[in-house]
This record gives sequence, structure tokens and C-alpha cells, in this order.
Amino acid sequence: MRILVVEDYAPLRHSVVQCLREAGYAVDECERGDDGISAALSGAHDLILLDLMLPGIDGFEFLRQYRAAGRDGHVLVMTARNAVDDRVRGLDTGADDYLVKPFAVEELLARVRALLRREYQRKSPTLRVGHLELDTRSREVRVAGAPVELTAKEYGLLEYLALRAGELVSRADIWEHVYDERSQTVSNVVDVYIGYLRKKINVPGHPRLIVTRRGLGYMLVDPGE
Amino acid sequence: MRSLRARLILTLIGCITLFLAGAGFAFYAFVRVSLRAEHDRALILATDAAAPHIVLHVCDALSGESMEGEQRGPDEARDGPRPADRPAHGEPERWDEVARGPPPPRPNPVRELLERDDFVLQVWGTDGTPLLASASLGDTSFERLGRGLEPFGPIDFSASGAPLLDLQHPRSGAPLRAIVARFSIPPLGGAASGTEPGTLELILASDTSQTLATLARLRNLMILAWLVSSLGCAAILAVAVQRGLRPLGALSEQLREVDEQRLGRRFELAAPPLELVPVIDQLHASFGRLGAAFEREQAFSADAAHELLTPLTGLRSTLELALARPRSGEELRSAAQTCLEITCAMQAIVGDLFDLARLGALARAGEVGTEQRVELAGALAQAWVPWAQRARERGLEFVSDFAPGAAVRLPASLLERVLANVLENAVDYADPGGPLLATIRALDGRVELELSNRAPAGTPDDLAQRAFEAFWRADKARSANGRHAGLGLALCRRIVGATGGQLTARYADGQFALCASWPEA
Repeated sequence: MRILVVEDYAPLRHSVVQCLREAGYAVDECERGDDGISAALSGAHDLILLDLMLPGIDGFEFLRQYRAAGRDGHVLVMTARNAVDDRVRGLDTGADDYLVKPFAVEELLARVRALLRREYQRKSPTLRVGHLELDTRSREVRVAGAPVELTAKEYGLLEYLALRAGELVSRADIWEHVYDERSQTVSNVVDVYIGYLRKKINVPGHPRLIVTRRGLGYMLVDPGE
Repeated sequence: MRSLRARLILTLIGCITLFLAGAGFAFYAFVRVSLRAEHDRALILATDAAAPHIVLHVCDALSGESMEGEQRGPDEARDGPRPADRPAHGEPERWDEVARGPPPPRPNPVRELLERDDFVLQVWGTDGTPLLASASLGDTSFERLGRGLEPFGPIDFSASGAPLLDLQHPRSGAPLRAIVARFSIPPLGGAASGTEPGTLELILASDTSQTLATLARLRNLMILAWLVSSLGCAAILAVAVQRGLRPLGALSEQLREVDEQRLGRRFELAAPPLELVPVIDQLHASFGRLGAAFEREQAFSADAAHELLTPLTGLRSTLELALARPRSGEELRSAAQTCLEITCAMQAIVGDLFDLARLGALARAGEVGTEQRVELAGALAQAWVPWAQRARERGLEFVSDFAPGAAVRLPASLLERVLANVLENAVDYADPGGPLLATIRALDGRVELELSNRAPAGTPDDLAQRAFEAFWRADKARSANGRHAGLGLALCRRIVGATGGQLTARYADGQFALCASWPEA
């Protein structure tokens, strides 16, 4: 999942970004509202975390421009403005959720997970594909009941494929949604990580979960279907 | 503390009862004086009428003649004793008189007077011998009071001018109004008799108990009328004041409903009295100002909370992140460093907020010292030193035009704070590459310090209007070190105002200027 954080207060931005990255998300960050809207309109972010009081353009103007451009990505507003009027205005302008400062990192992550599930029309925090099971709360992965240790990037890639299980996912999609602007632009990085994943989730006696469509991309399939 | 209603009622009742009492007393005094004057006049007239008879009666008595049936008129008395060659009264002078028989005895007014109950008469002779006394006196007597008086008569027996006294009846103790007079009497037996002329001293008194009783009844009646009138007035006044104060009560009820949420409410009275209209207008104006101040205070508190909540969130998230999993020593050191920076930033904001509040309180109490004389050019040059390097980095050229010797009176530490703030703003926000103009001039007894710079593109047009709003920033970016939280210029304006000066902002044609002015020291 790729998330854009637009927050002008550097210490907070840094800690939120690091926290999200450690949770396995690809994260882009912006300090100014005008830079943020450019990044949001040019990228394929699954979620945007947005402060309201920003230099350049403020959060309300960001939301207006974002929705006016026809983008329907989820936006979580993080702000200290907790008056009812502000919250109503933010939600009416196009925000999907509202998180009032100061907040706990756990709550932020829970809201991020909830919004991402909504992004992919999922309601349960547990994703099941065949004998594969992902608990998005604890980020635990089990294959045929046995836990599997994944790196943050591997988990992010598997979660993205699981959310789009049964769909053909192109390398470009994976690149846009799982890797952020810091990632190395190595041409086969997606293939390399798919290879890592296959080694960890393929178990003897069970059919393969990740199927390659040569020249098109990858698909996480339920062998029973 | 008495209520207004009680005060009005008590004051009005007090005034009305005092007025009624005063008017009643004046009326009573007038009646009393009039009755006494009438009584005195009647007494004088009675004395005038009786005096000739008394003189004649006494003369006759002293000359040994019988008084019974031989009384003469007053004209005769004034003319003196009858000559010896004239026939005595009762003797027939003509035969026709003889034929008619003797005339009936004329009434003796003196004797009648002596027998009356409402008058008391006592007469003394020249030597103080009691000559006549009313029967009511019995064996008692008045004290002689007319010995030193100038006698009336012998021609004119008018007692006008004789002293009038209040006495008591020597026997019954009844109140009397008395006239004391002396009359001259001619020589007994005529001028040729060889006897000396003498004087009569008399006290004629009339009983005033009836008059005094009438006055007492009148007084009691008036007191009763005063009490009844006062009670009636009190009842009427209570009702009238109650009705009169009804609009005030209605206004009070509406005022009671005002709280911080409803400071903008309008006070509506049905047909408000003219006296309350300016009060209501003033209340509307005062509550309007109070509401505006309250909103500013709330906005300020909200802004302050907002400015503190963001670094607080940064602090919390940094700590939570550090504790979320085992970290290396370097990671923990980095997190601690971030927390320290955030804490210092919050401390700076809290310090500015505290200074704002403290300066406001000092300014209101007039406790900001103005004893110290500070030369502005020197202070500005010294304040510029820390910012010179950053200005060079941003390509800003510092251009100064200082009037020599211009000085102001204020604590140097406060001036340093103002200069540090405005210079920091100018260096951080001026459009790079432009000049930074500092001017000090003396004009009309005031000293002005102006700092102007070119504003960067995108500067909002309302910069000059909003520059002094707490927590307002032309560029909303926060700095991690707590600088530019939007409090600096608000604090500067409060400092300059508290030291007797003014701080204003101007923004036109891309040029932003801050101008501080104080009375010249």
C-alpha cells in the first residue's frame, strides 16, 4: 500500500512516515500543501494523510483540488482543529476520516488499515486466500497454519496481492502501490521480491499461490476456486 | 443593601410624610397664632371698653359715693368727677322728671365684669391696695405685674400696646390670657379738691382653656390625618413604584439569562421608558464589545491549543515509535534528540504566551518602567549582529539611515526583544536578494524606527492587517524549533504599546514595512 503524508511539522511528519514504513507501507511525504497536491495528483496513493494548516495551500483547498481532479482515493485528515465546524467542513470537503491531534500511533495505524480495507472493499481485517492467511492488525502471515516471517516490504507486497486476490496485477501497479519514491528504481525489483515471497509462502503439498502471467503481471489465486 | 424598590418607597414616603407633617405643623401654627391674635384683640377691646367704667367705678368708690344705681358713663369719667354744683345722679332736675319717677338703675358693667366666669379682673390702687377683684378669685390674687408700666389716660383709656401675658388662674389654675395696664386717674373730688392724681393698675384676663382645648383637638385630628395620609401614600407609592419598576425587572430578568453563549442577545422591552432606552443601548454596546473580546479570547485559546497540540502530537508519536520495538542505541538517541527539540519549541511557545499575558497585565497596571534612556541606533546595530550572517546567506543587503542621537525611554531588554523579533522576521521572510532598509528618524517629538523589505511572491494582501494576530503566519509553515509560531509580532506590538509607543505595519506594492514609534526621550 502506498500512502502520502502531507504535514508541515517535520518531527511529526518524520515519526508518522517512519511508523508507516515500519508497518510495511510505501510512504511519500510532503511539507507543503501545494507540493502535496502535485504529488497526490501524479501518484497512485492508496491513502493520503493530510494536515489542514499547511503552507502553500491549506488542507481544505487540497481536498477541493483533489476531488475536483476526479480522484477518489481515501483521505485521512490529521489536525488539531477539533471543532465540530472544522470536522464537518473537512468531511464535507472530501475527507474520509478525521483524526484529532494529539493521537496515538496505534489509532493512526488502525484507521489507516480500516481505510485501506475500504479502498479494496474488504471488511475483515483477516485476509484469506486458499491456505494463506494475513492478519492485517498484527501483520502475521500463516501458510497452511504455520507462521511465516516476512520483511516489511515483502509483507506490503503480499498484502497488496491479497487485497487484489484473483486479479491480474501488473508490475507497474505493484511498483506504484508498494514502492515509494525512495525505492531503488531497479528494473526487476518487483520480480526479485516476488521471488522472495514465493520461497517463503510455497510449502510442499500445497499448490502455488502466486501465478505469473508472462508479460502481464502476477496473480494471487485461491487454488480451491 | 436595600433594593431599589425599597429605597424608592422609603425615600418617597419619607419625603411625603415630612411634607405633610411640615404642612400640617404650619397650618396648626397659623391657626394657633390667628386664634391667639384674635383672642388678644378681643381682650384689648374688652379692656378698652371696660377701662373707663373701672376708672369711674373706682373713683366713685374712693370718693365715698355709692355705686349702686349711680353709674355714670365713660364720657363723664373722662371728664373727671362731677362738679359739686351739679345735681347728683338720681336727683330730679326738672319736674317732668319727677312726674316720670326715678329712672331705672343703669347696669353696672364693672360689677357684671366682676361676676363673669370667662373674665378675671383685678385692680390695684396707686399704693397697691387691691380695689377690685373678680368673684372667681375668691381670696386669691394675681401677682402685681404692671408697676413699672407707663400709665394710660386720663383722657385716652385705650390699652393698645399694653403687654399681654399667659397666666394661670391663681385659684383654679386655668390657663388665662391677660392684659396688664396702668391708667391715670384724676384727683378725687375734682382738680379743686386738693387731692393728688393717682393710677390704677389692672389685670384683665380671659380664660383660654376653651381655645386651647380646640387647638388640642385640631392637633390630634391633624396627627390622625397625617398618619392616615402617610399610610395611604405608602400603599399608593408601593403600587406605583412596583408598576414603575416593572420594565427594570423585565430587563433584569433578561440580563439574568445572559451568559457567555448569548452575549449577542437583544434586550426587548414592551414600550421601554425613555430613561431605560440609553441603558439598553449601552448594554447592547457593552455586551457586543464583551462578546467580541470573548470570541477573540476563545480564538486565541484555540489557536494556542492548536499550536501546542501539533508539537505534542509529534512528541507522542516519536516516543511511541521509539518504544514500539527494540531500537538500537543510535535510534533511541535520535528519538530523544527529536523529543528535546520539540520540547524546546513548546517551551518557546509557552514562554511567548506567558510574556504576552504578563506584558498585558503590566501595561494595564502601568508598571512598565520608562526610566531607562536607550539610543535606538546603537540598540539596532547591536541587535543586527546575530542576523547578519543569515542575511548574507539569503542575499539580503542591510541598508541603514539613522538620525543621530534619537533615543527613547523603555527597558533596554524589552527593546532588544522587539528588535530581535522584527529583524528575525525580516531576515527569514524577506524576498531574497533585496535590500533590507532600516530607518530611524525623529519627527514632531516622536522617534520612529522603520524596517522594510520586499515581500516574497504569494504574500497575502491582508498581511498588514493580520501581521499582529497571534498565531497568524503569512506562510503557515511551522518551524520545528518553535520560531515563527505566529506570536512574535503580537508580542512586539504588546511590548511597544506597554512602553508608550505604537507598532504598525504597511504592505503596498510588494514592500512590507514595520514601523515602531515612541515619544522622544
